[in-house]
Amino acid sequence: MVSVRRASRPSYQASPSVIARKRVYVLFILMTGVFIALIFRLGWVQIVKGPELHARALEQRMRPVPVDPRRGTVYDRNLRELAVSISADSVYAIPAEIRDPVAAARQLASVLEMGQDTLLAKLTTRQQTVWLKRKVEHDVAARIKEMSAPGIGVAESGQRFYPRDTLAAQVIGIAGIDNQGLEGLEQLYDSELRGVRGQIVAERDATGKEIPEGEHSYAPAKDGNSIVLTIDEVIQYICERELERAIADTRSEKGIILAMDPKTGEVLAMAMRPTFNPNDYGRYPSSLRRNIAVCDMLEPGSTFKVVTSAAALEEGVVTPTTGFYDAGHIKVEDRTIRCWKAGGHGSQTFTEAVENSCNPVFATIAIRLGPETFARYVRAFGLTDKTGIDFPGEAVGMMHSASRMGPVELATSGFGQGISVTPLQLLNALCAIANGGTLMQPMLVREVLDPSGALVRQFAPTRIRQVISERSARQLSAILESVVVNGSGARAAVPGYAVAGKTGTAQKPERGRYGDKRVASFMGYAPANDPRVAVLVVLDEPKTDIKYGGVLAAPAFAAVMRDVLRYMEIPPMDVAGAPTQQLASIVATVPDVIGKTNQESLAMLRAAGFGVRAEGAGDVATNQVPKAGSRVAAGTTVVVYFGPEELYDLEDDFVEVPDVTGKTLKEAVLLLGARGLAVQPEGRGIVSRQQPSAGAAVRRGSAITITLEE
Amino acid sequence: MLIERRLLKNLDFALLGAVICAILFGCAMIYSATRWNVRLTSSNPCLYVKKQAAAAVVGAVASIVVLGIDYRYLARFANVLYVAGIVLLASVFVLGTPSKGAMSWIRIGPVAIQPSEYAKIAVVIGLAAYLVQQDDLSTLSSFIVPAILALVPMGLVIAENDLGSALVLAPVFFAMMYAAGADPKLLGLIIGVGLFVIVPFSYFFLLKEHQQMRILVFFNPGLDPRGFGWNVTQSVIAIGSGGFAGKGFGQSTQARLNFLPEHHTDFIFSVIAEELGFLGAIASLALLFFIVRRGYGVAQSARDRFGSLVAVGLTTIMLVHIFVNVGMTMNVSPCTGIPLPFFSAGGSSLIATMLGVALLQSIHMRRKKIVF
Repeated sequence: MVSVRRASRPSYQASPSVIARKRVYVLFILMTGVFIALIFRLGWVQIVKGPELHARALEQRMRPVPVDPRRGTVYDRNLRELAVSISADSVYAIPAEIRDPVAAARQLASVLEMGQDTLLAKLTTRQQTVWLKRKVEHDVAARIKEMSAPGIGVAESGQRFYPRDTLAAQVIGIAGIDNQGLEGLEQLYDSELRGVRGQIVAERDATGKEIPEGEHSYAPAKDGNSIVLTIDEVIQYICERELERAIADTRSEKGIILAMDPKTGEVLAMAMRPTFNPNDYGRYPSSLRRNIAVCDMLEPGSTFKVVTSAAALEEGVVTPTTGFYDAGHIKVEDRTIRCWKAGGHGSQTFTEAVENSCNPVFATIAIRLGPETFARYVRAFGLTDKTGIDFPGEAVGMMHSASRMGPVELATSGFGQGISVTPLQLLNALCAIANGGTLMQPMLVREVLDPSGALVRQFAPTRIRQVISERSARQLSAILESVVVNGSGARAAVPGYAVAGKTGTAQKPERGRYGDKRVASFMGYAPANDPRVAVLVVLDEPKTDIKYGGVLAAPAFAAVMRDVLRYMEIPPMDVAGAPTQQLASIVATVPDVIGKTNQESLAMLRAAGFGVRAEGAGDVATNQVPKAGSRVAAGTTVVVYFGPEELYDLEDDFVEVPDVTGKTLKEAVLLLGARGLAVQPEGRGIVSRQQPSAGAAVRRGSAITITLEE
Repeated sequence: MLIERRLLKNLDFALLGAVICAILFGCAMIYSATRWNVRLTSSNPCLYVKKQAAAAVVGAVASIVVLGIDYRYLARFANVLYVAGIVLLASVFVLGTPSKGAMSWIRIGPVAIQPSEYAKIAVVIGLAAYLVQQDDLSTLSSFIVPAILALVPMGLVIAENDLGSALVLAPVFFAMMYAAGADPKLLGLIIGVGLFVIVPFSYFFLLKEHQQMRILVFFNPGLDPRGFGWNVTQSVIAIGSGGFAGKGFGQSTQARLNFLPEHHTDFIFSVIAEELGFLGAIASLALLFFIVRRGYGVAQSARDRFGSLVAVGLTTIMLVHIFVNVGMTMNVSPCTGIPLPFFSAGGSSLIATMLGVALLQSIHMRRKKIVF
């Protein structure tokens, strides 16, 4: 009857059947299952995975940000800056935080001046952080910061800056953008310069913003130590200038000028050409970054006769007055060795033979010494070992071993053929003679300073060994002095100073044979009686008709020596060795000689107690340094330029300081650099002040301190 | 008086109490989730709580009106209600404003309503009214009309680009069919075909790319941690970092620091689990479980089949919402924008859910014949 009742009422009023109630119950059971599943999942996530996920949450919020230390400065010996770190901004991204990479790439492309596709690829990498652009300009960084896009940030890291551009570039080397020394002293002293990285850990929200009340911890970066080089910026500048001029005059392929303090082994200058600009090193072939004075070898040629002479004097094989006869050639076994002078030098003393750089005599002496003794002295002068200079990648000299050295090899080695040494080894051997026979270890770094400038470590000069007696050294020094006074090195003479030196003209071996290519060199020191500086000039493959070292390298040597001695304030001596200037302490006023003739101006200056150096070929003085009216020490050499134009590059040249306020750092560097001025930047942003101010006349090469403000 | 006093005595007071608890608790969690977020609240930390409370008041008033109506009248006007629901859904295409990729909102002045929330109730009533008239649901042909009744609104909601809301209707349909006495084997067959034929077909031919991505990410959240995987990954981190006892009320770091998106709406459960831990999450799930349980209780004790089926439908809507939403926060169900009943901030959701509960109460009150 149930169906009848159901039919009699509207169907929706029918009460639920037993089956329907049961089915609702089944649904209820299913629902319970759903809830139990959810609770199991909840337990898994919260209880089992809880600690792990908690750590992940913490990691997300407490993203540590590295704080780069400031890389130490490289100073010259007078604490002038050669390499400094200034802050440079870099733009980075945290891809995981960027919700819309396409839009972000579009937004960034114009600001960073990069392609959208490049940016998009970077924004979608699976790295924690990715650099979008390194070394951005200040205004670009400011605009990125202003955008405050999620996942995009600006990091300020220490950018390396070489205020003197190419000066001593191969010696200082280069440092990469990640504060790592890559080459040269930057590499060798990287552990000192680098410093210790610090860290800021701060709680951050999803956009990377710091939470003011969040948790913080800060481990400050420890800035790197600075190194003080033995190099003197001014001497280095003089050497580079003279080298450049000599290379231009002789059209040489390469060139080196080294300057050392013979008493300490300190390298005062290490100049080489061609060179590169470390501020933009990527644009130069890497071969130009090689320090060819330390890492490459050359055949010394006649300059090596200094070593043979030292051995012979010390062994008593010769005395300065021992007589020789040069017929123009000498027969050693089946080989005929010819003197460079056709017909020979005839009868001569040993001193004269050195003056004449006579090959047959030195072949004879080497044979008289014998292979063992000869090799012993070559070794003793440090020519077969590394000098131990603090520079990476030093090369070692090569020679025939004593046992395999027949008379021919011995004879040619005696005048420097068939032997390879580094330029540094060669000059260091000469320094031993200048230093009374004591060989020193060459060095490039004197001190390590902490960031506050306090002394951390000092490197004392290291004595290696006594190679020859002081007496032999003095004898040889006198002979080398007469090389400059009477012999092949006449062009190396510096008026007022006693210079000792030796020329060298080596044939360049090409595919095992000697061809037309030459290496012209000159090395020497001054003052001969109390050597303060030793200089080596090497000109590789000059293209002039005459390729003798005495003709090509000696004048460059003289130019360097003259300026260096004056810079070192070593008073000139007369021939007898007494100081010619008694008035050094008296101040005098420089007279005005501009417009005067050569003789007039010389007379005026001499009368006022000044030394004179005439430059240029004109008849009338057009310029003078110091300027008229300057009050300087009497006895100062006044450089007078006679010429139609003021093009000559006087090292004492004064230039007018340009106005760089309102410029960016880059613009200021270019502007000042064009006038030969160095830059000492402080702060970041736009130049707000400069010292000295615009319009001031300063010496070329001076540093202008510029203060940058944001 | 609007409602007879005797009827009021028959109210399910436990359900009423549970719902009030849930709404208050939801408001508290919304406050906790939004008070830090100045960008969201424009420096009024109570902005979202006030909005939610206003919706609750509107919902309460509407509920009292619903209680006053004998639900059996709804059966008579079921056709009208159903058509009205469909019209409401369709109106979105004319009046709607797009939001988060879906065209499912109508903006009237400051108030935005989501028609699909209300339309679901209309569909349940329409479907129930049809099903009670069917004595035999054992043939495939007998499934055709109810299926159309369910598929028309589903299709409309999918067209609005709100796939999640549309799919909620599928389990509701099956639960109601089952409760209405449909052949379980046939039902199982259809569910199987649906899962293994229609779902893959839709995936490859009907879904848009971003919808496909959501489903892919469900199976592998690491696939796109920056994009669609971000929400789920951050939600799991937030829940997991809460641990057993939680970080304390108002101490959510992941939500506060904006690692967790949508933390006051779709991911409110993540905030609950992070701040109150396993214990708090279980407690809130238990509260929801209790409400759903009472809903099926109403279905069992209803005086007629219509009331029973409507109760099954409404309760199942809540259940599916809870499962999909809570499951999504823990990466056991796909990431769809389904709100958590009572807890998620959102007026339409809260009012619609309260209306559903009011209907349940209306059915419950009239479970026994009132003797005059």
